[in-house]
Amino acid sequence: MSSVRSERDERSSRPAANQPPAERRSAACWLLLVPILGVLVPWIYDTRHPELIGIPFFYWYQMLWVPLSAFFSIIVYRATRGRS
Amino acid sequence: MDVKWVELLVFGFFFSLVTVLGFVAARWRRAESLDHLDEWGLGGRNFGAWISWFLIGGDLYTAYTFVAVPALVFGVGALGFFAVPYTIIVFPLVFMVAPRLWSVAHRRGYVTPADFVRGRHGSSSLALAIAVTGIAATMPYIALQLVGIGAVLKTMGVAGEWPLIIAFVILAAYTYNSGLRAPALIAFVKDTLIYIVVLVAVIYVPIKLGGFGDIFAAADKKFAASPAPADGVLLADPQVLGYSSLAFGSALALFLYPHSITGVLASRSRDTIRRNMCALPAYSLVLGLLALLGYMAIAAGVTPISTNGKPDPNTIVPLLFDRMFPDWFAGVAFAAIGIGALVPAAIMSIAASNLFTRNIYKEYIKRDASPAEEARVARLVSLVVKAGAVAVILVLDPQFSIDLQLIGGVIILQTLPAIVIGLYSRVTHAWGLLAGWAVGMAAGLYMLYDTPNATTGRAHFGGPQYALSNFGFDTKVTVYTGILAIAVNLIVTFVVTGAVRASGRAPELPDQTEPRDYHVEAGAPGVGPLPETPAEAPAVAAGRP
Repeated sequence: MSSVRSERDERSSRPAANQPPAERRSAACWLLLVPILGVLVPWIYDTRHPELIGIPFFYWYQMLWVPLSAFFSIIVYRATRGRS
Repeated sequence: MDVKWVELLVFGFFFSLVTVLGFVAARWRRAESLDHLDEWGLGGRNFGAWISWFLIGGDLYTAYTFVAVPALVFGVGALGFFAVPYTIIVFPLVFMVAPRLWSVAHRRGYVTPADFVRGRHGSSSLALAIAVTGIAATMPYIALQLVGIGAVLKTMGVAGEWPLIIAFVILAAYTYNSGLRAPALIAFVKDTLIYIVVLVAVIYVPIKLGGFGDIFAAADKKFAASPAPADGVLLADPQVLGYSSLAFGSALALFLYPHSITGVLASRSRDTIRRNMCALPAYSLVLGLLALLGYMAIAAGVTPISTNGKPDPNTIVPLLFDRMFPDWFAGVAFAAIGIGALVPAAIMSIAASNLFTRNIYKEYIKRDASPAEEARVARLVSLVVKAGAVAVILVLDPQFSIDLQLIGGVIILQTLPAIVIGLYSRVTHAWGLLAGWAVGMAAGLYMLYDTPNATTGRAHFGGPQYALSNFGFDTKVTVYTGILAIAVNLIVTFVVTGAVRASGRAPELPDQTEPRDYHVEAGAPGVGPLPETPAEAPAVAAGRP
């Protein structure tokens, strides 16, 4: 990613005022794997209990990963967004 | 069954509303003319974060999904819930890959995934294979959208085939007229209705049914009484690997479908895509709640409507709404499902038309087609595609479309190496990719053919799970067929690539793209789109200051 930026800088001596912030590489990208691993292991969540308002664990555990996955994506988005 | 007039009136009202919107869309964020494929086929490549959110959400979560997922949960239980992990996995994956595809397409003027493959791997045969796979996988998906509308119409007591035909003729007309702008505008109505209906349903219906405890108890009772071994509120041990591999494989496939890529390429910027990957999971929440409606239908004692003596499980969600809600609100719910079919059907037909125009017509029939001619051909093809979808549903058994869609998921996965590996490197040779594609297709089709279904008594195309016992393992474990086929594909791709390079006789095919093409952002200085004609592009790029 950094090499891209330097290439870009070579092409334009000064950045345009409305240039969107460039992206940065970040170790936070690995966080994107967390929700994927979280739901790809039915061995650990294929159980009935504990239930939540009568819903078996199998269902509410997976539903819980929906907001969690959005949360991790937002962290990655913010960590890789360049300073404006 | 009597016609339910109140429901039908409300449904008709919303249907008329979106019809007007569909035609008005041609003037929305108006371009100078629609005589360019970027305008008709990608909405001007200028949709911002909000529009993209509605468009991609409306694109991926189709009426068929909304009808079929609860129907599957109703029928087999836990296994049907795979749609939830599937849509949880897809967005982080797309977050990593899609911005690269957007950037290179933005820079080089690519409209379809096959355009990218052509430019990156330098092989028009490989691009043709990718285009044909995309069209073949999309066609039955369009046909299945009709199944969604059909289920709703049946529940309202509307018999016969003419309402379906009228709905699709209207859809075809405004898609022809307005291109991708039509589904983008209609998606606002569709998704607003869907969110309202689902929120009301998951609060109101469980209260009426005595809470989730009672709902799951009813489901337990039903599955305990059924003779099928594969159903239940939890997964049986041999199903676990099948469940996770199906979720993972489906997630990989979803992004490769031409209509998903059309949605991504229509975005204004990389940033738009990245933001959307954070916001799109909201739809997965809706999908998960909808899946639970399958259990609510069991608890409410819904029995599917039968057509020609065969029960149609896809009618259970409409029937549940019909039974639980007052007529006017059931009408709103039916409108949500019906319009939910129109948005993806429009985008899919546009994506298929773009593929035909760019990668078959322009590549093999008329090489010097002007942009205006490309747009004209694509518009006409979109009509043919929809007529074909209607014909398939009316003439053939709907089961045939369901089989084809099952096949579609497995074959679209075979385009993964050319597209996804291609986005990162040229380590694979086009000939290796072509060989891997061919063998992966053959293996996938054979395994699907070789899958019986004990529940329905069919000998072939019984489902997307292939038993490992077929390979001589002593086990009941099954794995998603698509995952096995893509494994075969990848092995062949790398072996043939190695052989081609080792032989030293094969040419290294030209790569039209440059490393920095994969990172450019809209509006960055010095990195605007290059001229349209692919042949000119490298020369111009080299000659830039």
